[in-house]
Amino acid sequence: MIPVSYYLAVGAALFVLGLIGFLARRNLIIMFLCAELMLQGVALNFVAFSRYHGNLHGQVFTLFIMTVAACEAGLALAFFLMLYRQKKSLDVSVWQAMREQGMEVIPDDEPFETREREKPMPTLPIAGIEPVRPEETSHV
Amino acid sequence: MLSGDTSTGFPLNWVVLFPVVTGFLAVWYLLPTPRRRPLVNGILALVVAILGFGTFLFHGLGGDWPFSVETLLFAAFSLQAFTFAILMLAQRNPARAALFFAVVVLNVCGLFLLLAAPFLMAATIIVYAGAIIVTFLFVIMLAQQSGQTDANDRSREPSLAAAVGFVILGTLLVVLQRSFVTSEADELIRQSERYSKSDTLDSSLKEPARAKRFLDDVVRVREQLGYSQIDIPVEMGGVVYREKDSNAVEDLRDALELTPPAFGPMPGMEGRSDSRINMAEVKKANGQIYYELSYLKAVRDGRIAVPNAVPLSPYGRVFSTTTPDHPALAQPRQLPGANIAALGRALFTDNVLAIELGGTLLLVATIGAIAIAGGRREKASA
Repeated sequence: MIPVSYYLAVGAALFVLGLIGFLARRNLIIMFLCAELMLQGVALNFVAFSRYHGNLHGQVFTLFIMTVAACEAGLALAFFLMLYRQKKSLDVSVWQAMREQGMEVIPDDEPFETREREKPMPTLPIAGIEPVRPEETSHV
Repeated sequence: MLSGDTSTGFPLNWVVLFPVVTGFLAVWYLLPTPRRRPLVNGILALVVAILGFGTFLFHGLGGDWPFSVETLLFAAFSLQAFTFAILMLAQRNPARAALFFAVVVLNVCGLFLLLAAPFLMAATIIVYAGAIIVTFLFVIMLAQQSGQTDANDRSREPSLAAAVGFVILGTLLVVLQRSFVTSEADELIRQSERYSKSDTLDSSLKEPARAKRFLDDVVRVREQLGYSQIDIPVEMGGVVYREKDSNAVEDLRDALELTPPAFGPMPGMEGRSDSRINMAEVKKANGQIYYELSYLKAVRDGRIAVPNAVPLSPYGRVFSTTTPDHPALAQPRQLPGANIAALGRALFTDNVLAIELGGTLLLVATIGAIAIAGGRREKASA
């Protein structure tokens, strides 16, 4: 049997990766996925302790985490759709009007890398005779 | 004595820096920036991060890994979960991120299965990898964005976010090491076992300074293992009873004549000889110390049920139905074989109110989601 500390280490890693994603990413959907990743890390901790202590309370907790996460997902995605309808963007930074009083707007300084676009393929004019297609018959 | 005073009790293992540094570099490098970075370096950073985390798993927690299928599966699932979690948070395309999240969930489900939670594994796959991911993909496709966007191709403070995250990870891993690595206790157990079996006085017990340090270590480690909270059963004449305080350390101290005599050292008697020390007493006291330390460590490892543990449920049902509890004979604590039946019993005996509240929450969330997203009218002034 693998000791509980190894599972706790994996849970800690998943939690921290979710935390970093939540802090650094700007797409609302990816931020929400990262929050779910943090919940996965916590659920792993609960199940590991359930095994370690030999009772099922940890698994019960995980079931409730799943319930709450499902509710949260439904509500949050509905919110995202509403927000997207207002600004046509999933970027959280377009909602900087909701920042605290006295804070400056954070500008995006670094320009995007300009890459030359691929040339579109040449289009050919339609020529020739249209081939005759047999009429569709049904055998129903 | 100075070394005994300055040591923190548990050795700090520098392996903890491997996953922290490599993971920080990889995540910082892979987070999206307006300038695209070369893919090869990203793959290299990811491989290095996996190696760093794997090194910690194999060496950082002081475990000797048995070469078994369980070990292989654990390593595979945990490293894959780590890898795909990094890939997920580094993706520019949210649809791909959702799919990588599904892979992470599948790997975590594998870990659930290794932890004897088959029902949770199935439920998590159905709910997460099924329902929630499909909902995400729906929203991603409804809110489709094309081309380079601020949302997908810029990160907010990637270096600071990664630094904060990996400092927290380092702290958590150090705490895990300090509370779960018991190499010092193992060493003391080994020593006391050796002392209790040899018929001659060990050379390290002959020196008063080293013997004192050994006894101080025993007292400290025994306290760290929860000596004052746990009753250690003692068998005497076929009857098992609990003993709160044994005098093994004092006995050994007396036997080794480490306690200063009341009238000061007698002239000419400073150097002790083996003949004056009662070897039977030394062996008996060391045997008792060995037994106490091994029992406490077994309790800590979860191999023995704590006989006087308080049941977690106020009604005492979950404790008595899901764990074998024989107060006199310490049994290993195990989860019941019928996972679903026991889980259902735990849910519907001790957590009925929470179940009802969870159901109500789901209903309210459904109504709320419909109310928020239901309107089809587009905003005219957008």
